[in-house]
Amino acid sequence: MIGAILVTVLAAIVAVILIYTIRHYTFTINRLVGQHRQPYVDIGVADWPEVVVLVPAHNEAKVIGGMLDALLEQDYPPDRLTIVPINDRSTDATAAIVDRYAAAHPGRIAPFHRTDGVGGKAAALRDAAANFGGQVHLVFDADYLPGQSLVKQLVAPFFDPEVGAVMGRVVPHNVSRSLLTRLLDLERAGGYQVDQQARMNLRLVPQYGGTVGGVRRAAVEAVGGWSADTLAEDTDMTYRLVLAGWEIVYQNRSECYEEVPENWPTRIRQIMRWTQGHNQSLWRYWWPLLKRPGHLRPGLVLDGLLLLGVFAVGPLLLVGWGVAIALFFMGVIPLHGFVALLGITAYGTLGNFAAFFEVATAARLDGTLGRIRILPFLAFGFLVSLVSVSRATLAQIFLPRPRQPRQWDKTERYRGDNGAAPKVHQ
Amino acid sequence: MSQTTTFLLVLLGTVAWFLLPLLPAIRELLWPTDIAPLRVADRDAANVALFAQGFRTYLHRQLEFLPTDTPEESVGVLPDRTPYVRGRRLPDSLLDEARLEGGLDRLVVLTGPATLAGGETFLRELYASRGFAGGPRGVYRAVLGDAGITLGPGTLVLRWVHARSDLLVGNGSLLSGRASADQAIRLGGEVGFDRLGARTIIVAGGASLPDLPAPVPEPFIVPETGSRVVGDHLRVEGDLHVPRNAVLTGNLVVTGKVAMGPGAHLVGSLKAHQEIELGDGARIDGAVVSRTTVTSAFRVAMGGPVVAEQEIRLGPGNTVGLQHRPTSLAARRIELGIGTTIHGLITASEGGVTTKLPE
Repeated sequence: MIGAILVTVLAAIVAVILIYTIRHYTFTINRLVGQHRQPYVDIGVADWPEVVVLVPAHNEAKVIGGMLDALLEQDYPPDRLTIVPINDRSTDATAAIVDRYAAAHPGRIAPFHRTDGVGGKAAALRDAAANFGGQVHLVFDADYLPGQSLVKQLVAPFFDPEVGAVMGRVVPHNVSRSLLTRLLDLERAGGYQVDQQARMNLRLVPQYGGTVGGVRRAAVEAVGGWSADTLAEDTDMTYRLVLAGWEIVYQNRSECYEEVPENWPTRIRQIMRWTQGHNQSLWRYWWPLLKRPGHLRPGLVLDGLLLLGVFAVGPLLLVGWGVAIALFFMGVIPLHGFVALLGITAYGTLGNFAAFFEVATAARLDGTLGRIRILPFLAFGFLVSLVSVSRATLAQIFLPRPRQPRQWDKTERYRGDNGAAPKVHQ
Repeated sequence: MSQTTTFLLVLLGTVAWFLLPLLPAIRELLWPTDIAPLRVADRDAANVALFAQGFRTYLHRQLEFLPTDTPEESVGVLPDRTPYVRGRRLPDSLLDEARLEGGLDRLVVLTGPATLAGGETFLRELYASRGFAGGPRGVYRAVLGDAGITLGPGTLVLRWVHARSDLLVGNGSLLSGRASADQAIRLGGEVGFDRLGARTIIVAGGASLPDLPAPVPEPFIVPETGSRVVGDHLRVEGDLHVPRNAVLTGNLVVTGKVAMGPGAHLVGSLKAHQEIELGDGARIDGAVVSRTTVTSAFRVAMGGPVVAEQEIRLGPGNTVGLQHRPTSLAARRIELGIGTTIHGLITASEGGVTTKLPE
């Protein structure tokens, strides 16, 4: 009896993993042979709308100066661009740096200082966004280094009245710092160059990632504004917009440098935060999505559900391995095919946040064939991710967070203390 | 051989076998060959005159470093070993070379106004500091003019052309790559292009086009059935036909086809998941976006940008953008009717063409 139940459980898990395998292979094949869809990339001249760039910052003294410098150098019409650094209760020099920039650039930088209220990026965004107009709100993390044309590139899709959010591509600039940064560079390439772009090509659900992108203000207001009670305000916004009938656009050419974690403890904390935020969205939106509002295509709903479930697959895989081992010792032999399938597809499909073959494909598309040699080391990162995601999920299920104001759970910064941007390619 | 030794040898062999595929990884880890941040695409994307600006900088730098005793009229090599010729006009011997099958393999710097007879091939860039007029069937790698540039019928430009004032392009020419002007580009009939950028881009033949009578506006409300307000736009499920002379205000998203009747006017932007067809004299003040094609009839005006994921076909006398509000027109394939005027940037990733002029 127990054996039969375990066999059923394992079969279900293998089926789920297989679905994700098919999904990732579909994306990879699309990127290798499909048509690259980037309809708005050639809007280079236009009557540009008023834009507000929001930069949430909590203790970002090391990086905020570099970010503001980069934004001041944008080739966007200055009278239509308002830069809003959101200083959310920083205890370091962030507030002073922001005020110094505002004084030096009157009319261009409008700091927003938060001293109370709910903590965290989502709440900071919600409060700041409500205080500024503009048709488009772009959001950058404070450690990002946008190139001169990035604001224009990210704003261009909003001429399409159906577009509610736009996401650009994240490119690590501190690649050479450690094995981890090199692995994250590969992982980001697979995730954006293949996964996100394929979803764009196939008109599925590119994810608004919240770090280099933007939203239409009218769209955000129409779906109720930013949620302050989530750890992943970007995923939350993605699904609310999709459910309401807005389109999310991914622009592979809108590239922006970021600083990735340089040590494993920081990385693990980051993964766990992402997991809990994403899982929040899973609980909130799987049923509304499954009910499928009339304007959503079945393919879009399926992709949306699978995207919601990506962080649930890790724990599921661990359960699958546990069940397979249990069955082995119970002497239920006929499952060896299942187990082999589970092992192989798990390795090939999940990777960390991009499947290994997606990473390899991204390296080919980017023309960075040297760095692909370290791909085997991603297996280590895969195991770290698997355990971290599972830990975060279990903690979320069995140790509900106490009802207390959310706090910033920040990723460590590594740049120099003067906040100046490092030299990067343009 | 003892059992322990055998065991260790087998173990060693197994580990070595396992590590074999990791050798490239370990090598790359210890002696990195590809560790720089990925180069991001940035400024080149929107600036249609980027190559011309780069060439200008390059040329000035090279000419600066020529020996001080180099005469104004000279033939030689630049400091980077590029062969060049400089002068008020091209020497006859080099003109003859340009008309031979292989073409002239020298960078050309013209310091006086120049008019060519036609049939020349320039394998390197040509820079003209005064007015330049090419003859029929000229072939140019790239042309930079500090004044106006006229390209004769049947001209082929391989990479880019940029004029500081106007650029005139003869019938049947092909402008591969980028063509730009600080003032206006005037295109003849059957001119092929990839990217064009100027304050005003005009296709010849407009003078012969008649005017349309002014439409009598009639308010129009989209039927409530099958439509709903989403944020700042109205979403229409299915096709939408806008009657003749109808006036709508607001942004529209249509999941099917859109047909705007003659004289219809949308005060806002339009997006359609399928084809957009605009009748004679139709007007859209904002952006026009289609997942397939945009086809316009006679004297249609669009504020822009105009984007179609497949094709844009503009009829005669269309206008896109305004002189003081330039915009972008982008699709895989673009066809521009006679007398069409576009202010800003045109990108046809698989090629565009102007229609044939009437006899």
